[in-house]
Amino acid sequence: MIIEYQRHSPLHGVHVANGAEWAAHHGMTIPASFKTGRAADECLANVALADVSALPKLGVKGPGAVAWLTGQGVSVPDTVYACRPMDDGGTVIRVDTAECFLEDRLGNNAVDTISAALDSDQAGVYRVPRQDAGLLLCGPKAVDVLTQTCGLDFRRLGTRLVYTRVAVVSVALLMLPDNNAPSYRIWCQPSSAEYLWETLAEIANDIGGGTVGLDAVARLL
Amino acid sequence: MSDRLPEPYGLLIDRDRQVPFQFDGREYRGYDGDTLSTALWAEGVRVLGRSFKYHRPRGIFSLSDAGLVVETDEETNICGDRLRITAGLDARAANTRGGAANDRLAILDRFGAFTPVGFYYKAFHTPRFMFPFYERQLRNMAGLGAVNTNKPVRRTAKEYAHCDVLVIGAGPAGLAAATRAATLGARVILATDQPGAGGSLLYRYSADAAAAAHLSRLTEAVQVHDNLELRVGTIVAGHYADGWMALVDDERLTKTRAGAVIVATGDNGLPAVFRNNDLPGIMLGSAALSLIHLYGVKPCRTAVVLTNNADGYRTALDLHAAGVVVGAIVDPRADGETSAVSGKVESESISILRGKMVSEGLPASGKKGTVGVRLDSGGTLDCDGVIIEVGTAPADELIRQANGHMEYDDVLGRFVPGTLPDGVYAAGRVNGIFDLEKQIEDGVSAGTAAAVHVGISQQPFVPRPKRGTSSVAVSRCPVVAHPKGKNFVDFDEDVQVKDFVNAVQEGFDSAELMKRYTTVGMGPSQGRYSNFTALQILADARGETLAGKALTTARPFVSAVPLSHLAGRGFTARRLTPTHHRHIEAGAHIMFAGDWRRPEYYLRTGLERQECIYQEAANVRQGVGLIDLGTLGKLEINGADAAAFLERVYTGNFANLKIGRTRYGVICDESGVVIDDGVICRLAADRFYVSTTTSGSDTIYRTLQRWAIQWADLDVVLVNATGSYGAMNIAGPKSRDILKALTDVDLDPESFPYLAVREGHVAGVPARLSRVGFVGELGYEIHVPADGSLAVWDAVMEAGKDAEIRPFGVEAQRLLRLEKGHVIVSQDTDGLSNPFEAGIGWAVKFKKPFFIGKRSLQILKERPLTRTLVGFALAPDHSGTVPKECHLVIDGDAITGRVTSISWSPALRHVIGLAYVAPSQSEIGTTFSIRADRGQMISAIVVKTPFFDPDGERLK
Repeated sequence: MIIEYQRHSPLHGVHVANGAEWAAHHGMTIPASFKTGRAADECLANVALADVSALPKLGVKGPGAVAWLTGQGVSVPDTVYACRPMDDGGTVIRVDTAECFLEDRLGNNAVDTISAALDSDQAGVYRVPRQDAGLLLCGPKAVDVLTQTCGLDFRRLGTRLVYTRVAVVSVALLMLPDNNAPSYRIWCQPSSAEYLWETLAEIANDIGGGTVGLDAVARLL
Repeated sequence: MSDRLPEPYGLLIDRDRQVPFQFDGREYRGYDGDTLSTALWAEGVRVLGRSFKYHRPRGIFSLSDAGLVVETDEETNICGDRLRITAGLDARAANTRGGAANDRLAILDRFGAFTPVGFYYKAFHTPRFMFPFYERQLRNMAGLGAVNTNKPVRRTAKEYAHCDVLVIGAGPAGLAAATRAATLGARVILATDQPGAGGSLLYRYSADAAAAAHLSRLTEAVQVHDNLELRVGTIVAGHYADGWMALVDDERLTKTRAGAVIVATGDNGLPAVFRNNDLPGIMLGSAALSLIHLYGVKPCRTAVVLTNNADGYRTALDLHAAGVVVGAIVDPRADGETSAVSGKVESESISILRGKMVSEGLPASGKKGTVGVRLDSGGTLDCDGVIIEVGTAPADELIRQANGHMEYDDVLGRFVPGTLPDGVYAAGRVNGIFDLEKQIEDGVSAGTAAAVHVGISQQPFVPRPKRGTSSVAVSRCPVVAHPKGKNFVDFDEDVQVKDFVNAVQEGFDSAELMKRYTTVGMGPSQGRYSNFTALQILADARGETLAGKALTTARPFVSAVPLSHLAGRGFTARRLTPTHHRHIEAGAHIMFAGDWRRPEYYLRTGLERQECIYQEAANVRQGVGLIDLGTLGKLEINGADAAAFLERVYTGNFANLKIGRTRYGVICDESGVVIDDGVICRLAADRFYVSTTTSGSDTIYRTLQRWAIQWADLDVVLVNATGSYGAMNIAGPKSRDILKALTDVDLDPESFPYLAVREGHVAGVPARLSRVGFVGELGYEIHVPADGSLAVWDAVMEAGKDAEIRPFGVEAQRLLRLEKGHVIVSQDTDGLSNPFEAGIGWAVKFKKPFFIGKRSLQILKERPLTRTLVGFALAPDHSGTVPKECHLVIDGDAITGRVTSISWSPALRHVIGLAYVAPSQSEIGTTFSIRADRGQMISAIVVKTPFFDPDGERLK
């Protein structure tokens, strides 16, 4: 009696309230755009906040994790907090000496394939359930939103994963370099997602931006 | 009437843009770039505000003090000297009755003799009960305006910034320091409270071509460097540990972390102390020059310049050049100024009165202006303005906040930086360097040192210029006593010379004590213009010099900071379960559980809270209910030694826990105090799934991580899955039938008995199901990935529709578990509870070689209990007051315990509860007393737990 289930973003409730136009990605209904608020182009010209929680994620932990992932064809970064693109798309981040976090790119299934290969009998390799809310903050004023919510020195952030607090919520944060203005990926516990989303959206709105659907930021994913 | 000067005067104003505004109900016009004070002064307004205590008329004094404090419909207590006018501005002078010009409280000035500092403490202390009345009256008459509690909420941001070097002050030294550090590669923030860079270069060196060249070169250099950020209109209000600085501008507070700090804040003019030295028209030379050069405003028509230094002579020349008639320079020094500038003054036919001192300002009617001055030698001079240049004090507040040491320099006659903390530098006039070229040299040196300090540069040390003599003030300006007083030292607080004399006479004869007695330095200017003079007066009174003396402790903030900026945007995190919005739709009344928001109960139309809770509980007992348990802590313990790890952490046995089974577990700390509990599920030989309390999830995970690191011999891998799983409990006699239709797990009691755990799917979502009995009914905890929680919740509710399934909240769950006598850690336990007194001693297994807290518990077990948790009931016919949680258990005169849980039980039809009592009161059938509200004593009887279904028949 196994049936496929409808995944819901941790922000589903707030998206419903904000007039989302839905699209399905990786089994999750996610806003493709919003009927209300600023136009996506205007947001992107300043700062845009998008929910990218639909991207498949996988955590692998244990003394055999790195070797196992390497065996799966994943090129694991040598140093902790470093990240590296996967051959088939997506990103692998070494979050600890014996733990990695993988996230796929939009429309890809590399992480699902790796996940399927991970069974519970694999000695020294354990699945870490990753249900993080995934946010994307982009646009030239993205850093302005972050400087109002986080004490990090964003000019010196580099491209390594950082564990920090944004608006007092514990998050993992990764800067995605860009020629025009860097974008920022933010992962947090799904339970904190709605509060964080509303806080960042309010600040983005104050400085000329706002929330956008996945269609507006697909090129970054 | 307009006192505007023609161009090129007025660097900061745009004469093409007139700005209409209102002050005290009258309409005026200024130029874009004007502050409220300068615009009013240009319009001929001389009374800008009223003083704090005596309501004396006040005009412009320093252009950065509390002479003009205004309020608008939206803001309270704004400094008019800094408030830039905008079209439509409607400002009112604060602390007046009837406006600044005609303040009805001006009469208070006549009673000054009866109201020395602290008079209210001396006069109104008896009768004691009247003090609040007096206090209210005094507060109504004195103060700094009224808070408008109806003003619109203005959202203010707070921001973080980082730099290698923060330079405070954009005068010659600051500009030189900033550009130097930037040239060496440092990221620099240059902050100035002024509207633009240049500082004193903009107004004090008007006839100096070299100064103009420096200004041009340095401001261009600021533009060139991408790594130098100029922040204008920004007050650096506080200097905290580790280079944290508070930068405040009109919009926000910026918390700035600086690797090194260069304080180039210059200095502040000192007032000359003589009778009526606060009249409108009497102002500092820096204010007069700023009015002329920055705002194109004549400070007065006819001026007397009171000075004891070369700066005053140059100021007189600037006034003269701007068309102000300089009636005379009054110089207390017997020989007057001996430098070349003296000759220039004389060549302009300006009279110099050497060896003279102003003893009194002569007021216009109502003290609303100045009509002249009286000299100490007799005689008067007519003027409508007195320009004061009698010396300065370093603007060293930020240095002192950083625990920098300021020491008195006899040669310079002022305090100069002594030992400064690492990474803190002073440059320019604040550093006792006055010559312009040397100020720039000093800035370059400080900029280099700062860049080296933060590791940006390896440049060799650039020697600091030596402090020479001061062109500002070497000789002291006399403090002129007057029998009628009103010779003010601190204009913010109306503190006069006699107040200091009184302070010393009453024994308040140190700087800190005197400050508290007189309130000197406690006003909005924070003593910038008064502290040094106050210290001088104190030293004189004690017959001492200033050598070895120290100013009072400097604390943030340097100047007034709007409370809205300090508050900023508030961040109060909240955590929601994946099904939160379903609860809202179902009418949930949400309660706070730490950061979590949980349904306390679901409101039913027409029912009170308590009845809603009883109905939810009854629905579980009689039918089926569903509760969201997403807030529970959820940990995965993996590895070959996972069981051994749990054996060490929990008090119970887990090595023998069979795969597919669950067991209740208790965690104690090293002292044997219960810190958490939960259910341990064994999924495989090397894989456990553990729940913790909602409040304990993060703490317990951290604790377990710490032990996992410490016990490096164990092969164990921990995963905090709290946020990744949603959880719910379907409970009640009908739960099995509903769930059966949704899952591929065999729910037959034989194959899935009580306390078992299974993995499978519910509504197509991968799930872990466990049979637990917290609420005392047949039930299944369903743990699913967070992104599948909503689907499962909806599916269960839909499948249970015919069985009239209803969600139940935290309160119903508390009631149901109370009926079963189950404890809730942190409600029925406290920070001292051990398992034996909490009634869960059965979960402690001493046969294990080790577990955390074992040694303490072994000792405790040998000792007699001091209290014990018991179940109790009130009489079935009890109809009066019902005790509440935390009400005390009383035995004679002694407090022997407290109620931890209590409720009326819909299943039992009477009140039941748990309470700590003395061991002597714990026997079944013992009666004890609970002191309820208003001291009422309620009798309770100890009964056996569980109260309901003692044999657990309903769980099967």
